[in-house]
Amino acid sequence: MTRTQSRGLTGKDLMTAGLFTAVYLVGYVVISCICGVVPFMAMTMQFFSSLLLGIPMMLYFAKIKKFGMVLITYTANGLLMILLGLGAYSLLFGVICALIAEFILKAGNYKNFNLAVLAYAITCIGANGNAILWVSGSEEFLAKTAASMGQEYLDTVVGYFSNWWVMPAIFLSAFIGGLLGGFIGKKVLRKHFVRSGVL
Amino acid sequence: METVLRNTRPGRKQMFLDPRSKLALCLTVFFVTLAGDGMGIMKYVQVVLAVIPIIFFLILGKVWLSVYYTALYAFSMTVPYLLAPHLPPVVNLLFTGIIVVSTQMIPAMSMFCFLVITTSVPEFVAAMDRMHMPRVVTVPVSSMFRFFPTIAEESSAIRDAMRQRKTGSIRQPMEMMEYRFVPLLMSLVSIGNDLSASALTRGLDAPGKRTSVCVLRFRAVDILVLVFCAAAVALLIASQAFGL
Repeated sequence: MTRTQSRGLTGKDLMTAGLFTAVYLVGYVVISCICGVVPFMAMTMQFFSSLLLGIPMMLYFAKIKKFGMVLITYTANGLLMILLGLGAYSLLFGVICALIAEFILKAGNYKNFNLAVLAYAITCIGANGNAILWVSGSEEFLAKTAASMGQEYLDTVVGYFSNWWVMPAIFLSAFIGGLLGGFIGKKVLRKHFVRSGVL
Repeated sequence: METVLRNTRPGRKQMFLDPRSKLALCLTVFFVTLAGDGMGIMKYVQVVLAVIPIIFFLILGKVWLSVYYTALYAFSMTVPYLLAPHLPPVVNLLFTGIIVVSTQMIPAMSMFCFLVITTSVPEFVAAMDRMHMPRVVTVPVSSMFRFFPTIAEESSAIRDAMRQRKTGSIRQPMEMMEYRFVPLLMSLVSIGNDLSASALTRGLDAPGKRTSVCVLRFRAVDILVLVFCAAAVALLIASQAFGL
């Protein structure tokens, strides 16, 4: 039994991390497919995915008792996003935000639920780092077409680019969605999982 | 020594390739389609990379999918560029541009699908071990791949059950969350516990090097693929550095 009680991550922890990463990824892809179909909904995707994934992720965060599992989840998530061709930003931001979340969880000694909600909301920002790719890719495409469209068109486009608040707004929406999702997840956890003894 | 296992070649099901070279192809397609700006020589390189999935579709015998893929790619490469000048900038930034970006990702996404479809979990783990990936990476990733089909299976079973009880449809989103997500999570957690118990029994936690029945060897095809990947990356670097 000395092995299973060791400080490091055991095989069981790693399997749990894999399970919840799979749930997270499937949920993320399904939600972004639903949101992506409707034009103009694409930019609200971050909010909805953070909101709805709150339930599984709060269950996961409640199960975490050791340092490193959040980091593993978001690293794996970022790596898969790269393999899916969705850009490296969610790996970069995901790792940074997951580290912050790890320290927040550790500060609460893996017991404080409100800190777990905060940690989840922060990881939401990191996981949605891909939004940079969409916005900058979209701008790049426009700049390319604008170059052949004459000065007037170019001016309008450049005027639109100056909307610097687009990225912070997206990240803020992810953060708020994460907070709300975290609290919903907390409620669902209390109602179903604690009572039935899964947790 | 010549044994049966040693002579097992990756067949049609594995697309005749080693998992590692498939991974290399996947990453190359991703980086080159994303980093290349589609100017100069990169124009041709990107098209060549976009052709790779078509070849793989044909190897796997999915003719209609390859036709569909070709049509989608051709559409995304031409239509938005013709349409964009006639639309207001707001629509372009939030809609047309995003369509262009997402369709540009189609080659990389289909490469990833090939990687997943044509590689079994033991093969994948063996390949990761060969690349000296730490256990902290291989175990979660392999259990993740193990769980994707389970999630789909459980989800459809729960959907059927809830349909019988006439509840949890999409019309009541809150009810749907409670009656579909929660049972799904419950069953997944218990399946996860069972699986990790079974994996621990089979020595997942054991220290030391693991052996595998999967044969991993670079063959002529793999070397060809790796050279191709290196050439694509080299062309990307050259075009960025010298503006070819």
